Amino acid sequence: MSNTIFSLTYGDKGSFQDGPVPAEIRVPLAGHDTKTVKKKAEVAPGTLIADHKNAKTGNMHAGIAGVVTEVTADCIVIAAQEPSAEAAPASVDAVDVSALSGDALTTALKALGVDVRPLIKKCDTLIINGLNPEPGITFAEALLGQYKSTLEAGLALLKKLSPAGKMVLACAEGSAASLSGCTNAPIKPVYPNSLTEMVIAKVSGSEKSSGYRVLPLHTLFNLGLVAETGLPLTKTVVSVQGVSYLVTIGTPASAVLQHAGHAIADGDSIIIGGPMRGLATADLLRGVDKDTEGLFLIKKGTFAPVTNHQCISCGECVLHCPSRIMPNLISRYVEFNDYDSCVKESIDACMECGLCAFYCPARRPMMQLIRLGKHQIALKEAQVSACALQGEEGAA
Amino acid sequence: MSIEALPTAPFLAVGAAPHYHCGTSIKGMMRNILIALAPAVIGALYWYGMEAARVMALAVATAVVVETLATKAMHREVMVDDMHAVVSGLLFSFLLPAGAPWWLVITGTAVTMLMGKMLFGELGGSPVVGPAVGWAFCRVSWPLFVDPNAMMLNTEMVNPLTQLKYFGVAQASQFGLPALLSGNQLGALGAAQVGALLIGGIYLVVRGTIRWQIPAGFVIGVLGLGGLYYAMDPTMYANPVFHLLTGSTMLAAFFLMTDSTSSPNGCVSRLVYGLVGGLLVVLIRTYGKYPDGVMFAVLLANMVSPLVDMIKPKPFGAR
Repeated sequence: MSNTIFSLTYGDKGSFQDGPVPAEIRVPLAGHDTKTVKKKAEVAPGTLIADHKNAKTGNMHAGIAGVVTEVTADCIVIAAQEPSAEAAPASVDAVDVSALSGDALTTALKALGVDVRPLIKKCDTLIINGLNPEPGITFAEALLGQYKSTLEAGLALLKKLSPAGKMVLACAEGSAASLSGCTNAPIKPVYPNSLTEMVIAKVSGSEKSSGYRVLPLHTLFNLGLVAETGLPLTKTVVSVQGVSYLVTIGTPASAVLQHAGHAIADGDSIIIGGPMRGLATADLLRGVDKDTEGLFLIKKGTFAPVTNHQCISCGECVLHCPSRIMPNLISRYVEFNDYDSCVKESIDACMECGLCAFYCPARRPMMQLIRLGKHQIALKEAQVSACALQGEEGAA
Repeated sequence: MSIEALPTAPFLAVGAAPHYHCGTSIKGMMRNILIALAPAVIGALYWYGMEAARVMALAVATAVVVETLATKAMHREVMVDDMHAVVSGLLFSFLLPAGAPWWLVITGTAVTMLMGKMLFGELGGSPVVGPAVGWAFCRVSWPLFVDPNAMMLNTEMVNPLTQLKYFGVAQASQFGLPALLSGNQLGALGAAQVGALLIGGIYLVVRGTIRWQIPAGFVIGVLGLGGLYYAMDPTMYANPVFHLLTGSTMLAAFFLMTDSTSSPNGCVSRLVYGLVGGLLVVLIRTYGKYPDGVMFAVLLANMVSPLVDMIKPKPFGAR
C-alpha cells in the first residue's frame, strides 16, 4: 500500500486548468504592515495593496478588479466589481526585469511580489527540487514539461541572484526533464525523498553535507511567471485534489474546491498544503497564498480521528522513520514535558515528514507532539540566551 | 447557536498533520490476532471438546469483565471494545489444560488483566506480557492444577515434554512430526495446537500485524541452541525441532513474544530479543525444574526488552 500512496510520479497531466473567477478574494498578509489601500478603494489587477517593510519580502497585489471591502491585520478583502468609468485605477505597466541586475533587480522583484530571501541565500550548490513535494500534489511533471520556458525564465533571474556556483535539478528517476545550466540528479520519486533534508542527502551522497540549499519548483515557477510577464505575481499553481489549477492569489479555498467540482459538507477537512505536512484550516474563506502548493478536501469519516491514546509501543513509527529516531519514545517524553530526554533522543533530526503518525495504529498525533517539543525546546533556549545576555550586561 | 445560523456553514473539521492515515487501528490489530487464533481454537475444540470451550469462554468473559471493572474503578474511559481483553483472555486460556477448574481460570485471568495490563494504566503501559504473568502466578501457586498431566487423566494423549524430562530422549523421539503438528500431544489446550498456531502466525506476518524479526529470532534461538546440544550428544538431548513443536514454543514465538507493549521496536533489537527468548527456552528445558519453561523465558525476555532497545541506528545526519 505504502508504495502506491507515496509515489510522487503522476505523469505529465498537460496544461493547468484555469482557476475560478472569484467573486471575492482574501489576500493573506504575513506581516505586511503598510497597507497602501483603504476601505472602498478601487483596485485593478496588479494594484499594490500591501507593502512589507523588509526589503526582501514580496509585496501583495490585487489579483482582480474590484473594491476593497475590508482591511485587517492578516488579510485584505477585495470584492470583484467592474471598474467604474471615471475613477478607474490605472492598470499596471510591465517591468522588464530581465534587463536589471543586482540590487535594482532585488528591489524590482520585491515590488512585483516575489519573496527574494530564498533566492539569495548563501550556498555553494543550489538544488532545484523537481519532485512533487508531497503525495497528491501533481504539478511537477507538467512544470518541467509544458511550462519549461517559464521555469527557464525564472532560472535566468535566479542565476543573477543566487551566490551558488552550481545548480542541480533533482528530478525523478527516469525523467527526461532538464533545465539549462543545471546538472540532473535522479532521485527515487517516493515520499519522503522530496523533503529538503532527503534531497540534499541524495544529491550530495552524505547526510552531513553543508553548503547546499533546496529551492522548491513552485517558487521557481512563481519567479518565472513574474520574469515572463513583468507583471506583479497574482496567480500561482495549486494542485487541487491532484488536478492543477492556475489560481488567483487570495481566492478562498472553498471557491477553488467548488470550482474543481468538490462539494464541501459538515465535518469535512480542508487541507492547505500537502496531506502529510499541510495545515487543516477552519476557515472556508481562507485565501490561497503565494506558496500554497496544494488544496485537499478530506471527506468526513475517511480516516479515524486523532486520539490521545497511550502509545502501545508497536514500533511502526520507528520502522518507518526516515530520520532513524524513535518517535514513540520522543512523543512520550513530550507528553511528560521531559525535553532534555527529547534532545538526547535527537528530536532535532526529525524532518517532519509525518510518516510516524501516518502509520500509528493508536492514531496518536505524533508529528504534532514532536513539533510541540521542538517549539518548547526553542523557547527554552531563547530564554537561556536572553538570561546569558542580561548577565553579560550586568558584568559590564 | 445552530450551524445554519452561521454565515460560514458548513463547519470544517480540523486536525493535526498528517491528514492521511494508513487505516490500521488497535481494534484491527486485535481482530487480526483473533482471526489468527481461530485455527488453534478449532484444534482445541477438536482434541478437548467442550472442556476446552468452557475454559476459553470463561477466560474471555472474565478478562472483559475484569478490564471493565478496573477501568471504572480507575475512573478512566472504558476501552474494552478494542478487544485487547478478548485476546488476552483467550491467550491465557490457551496456556491452561482443558480440565482446569473454574476458579483457576477466573483467578488466573484476573491476574492476567490486573497485573499484566491494568496496573500499568491502559493498553501500552505493561512491561510484561499479561498471559505469561497470569500463567506464572497460577503455576507457582497451584502447580498441580496447571499441569496438563495431572488435570487430563481421562485422555490417551501423552505429554512429550514430561516424557523428555523424566524418561529421556528415547521416549521423546516416539512423537512423529504429523502428531506434533496436528496437536496430537498432551499439553495446554491451545498451545499444543502447534500446526494451527503456525498457520495463524504466518497469517499475522503476512497481514503486517506482527513483524517477522521476533518469531524468526525466537525460532533461530530454539533451533540454534537446541541443535548445539543435539550435536553434542543426541542420546542426551532432544532434537531441536522437538523443542520447537512441543509445549508453548510456537504460541510464544508468534503471539506472546510479539506482544507490542513488551517487545522492543527496532529491527535488530527485535531479532536479538527473539533470540534471547529462544535461547532461554532451551536453557530452562535442559537445566530447569519445569518441563516447559517457555512462559518464564518470555517473561525474562520481556525484562531484556528495554535493554535491547538501546541497539538503534544513528539518527539522520550523524553518519
